[in-house]
Amino acid sequence: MSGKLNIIASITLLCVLLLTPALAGYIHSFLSSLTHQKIVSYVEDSHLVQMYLKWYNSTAGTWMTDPQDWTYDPDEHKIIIAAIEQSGPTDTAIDFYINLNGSYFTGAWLWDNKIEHIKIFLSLSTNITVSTPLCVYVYDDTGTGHAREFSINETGCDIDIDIAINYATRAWFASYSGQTSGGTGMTFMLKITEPADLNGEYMEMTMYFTRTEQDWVAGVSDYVVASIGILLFIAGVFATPYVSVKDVRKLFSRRRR
Amino acid sequence: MIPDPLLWLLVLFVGAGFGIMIFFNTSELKSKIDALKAALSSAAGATTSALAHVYTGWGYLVNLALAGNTAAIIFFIGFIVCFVVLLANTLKYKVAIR
Repeated sequence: MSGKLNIIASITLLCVLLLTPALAGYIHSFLSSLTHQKIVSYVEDSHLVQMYLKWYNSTAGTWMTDPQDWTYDPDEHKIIIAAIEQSGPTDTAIDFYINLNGSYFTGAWLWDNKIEHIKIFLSLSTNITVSTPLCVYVYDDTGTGHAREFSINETGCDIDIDIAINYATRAWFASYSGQTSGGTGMTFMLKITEPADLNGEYMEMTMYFTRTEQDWVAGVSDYVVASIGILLFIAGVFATPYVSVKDVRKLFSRRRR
Repeated sequence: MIPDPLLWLLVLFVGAGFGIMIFFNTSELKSKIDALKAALSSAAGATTSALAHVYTGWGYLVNLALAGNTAAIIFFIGFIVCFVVLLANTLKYKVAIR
């Protein structure tokens, strides 16, 4: 009997450890889905370090990088590339990089502000296909990049991208508060698989970060994790030979008298 | 902050440790077969732990605690107290919960 109890106790403890973030994340996601999302920050002109296209030139056998010029419409929060510059067509895919300023956006910023969604809206003068993976790079203290990949498959001249960040992913981002020597704290990489040449095309982009409007919902993951910790502590105390439910009952019955 | 490769190693070790603990909660090492069973329990624990990390990202709670997140610190204080008590009970009284 004691052997079975030992196994059950050990497995329960292991399950609590392994499933706590999932439980916290599930409760948070459920409550968050019931509330309105508010915009924490738009990506504005001053937040952008650089935007560029990277594509493989199979004729030359090298990777080409084409930096982009942009203007910003502060009223509409739109980043506008009047004419995309691409120095030649590719026969693979075009990687579109958006580098954000590390003074404003880092992985740790996503955690600190409890960001749940990153929204990117693209409007182009031609149809494009954005395919998996969509990568979000964040940087450690040495400036080394670390990426999280997200699934996406969108086609059209208006592309609506919603990057949902769950509790565990946000916890992963929390560790990265550094930036590159060039001042980039976060990078987005969109893989454009069609068309092969974007040269001269017009592009508008709006990007913002959202979280639930209710502060208590935003903090609910922390409450769940801490509560499980307190329950484990109490369970640990009651598992010792020194405290038992009987003792607690005796204590309360004496007080009543 | 624990770098990702080291975190994966930690995740595997914790699972392996639990696997061995679960084995020793019911058996003792008396023969080579028991040693093999203990090793298998450890491997099963490590695999479960790693798969759970893929699914829930529980290992990142360690990073959160190290980064000073109060909730994660409280969680690990509770977890370690519970773990130490269960282990001490098992070793001393042969039963996890007294």
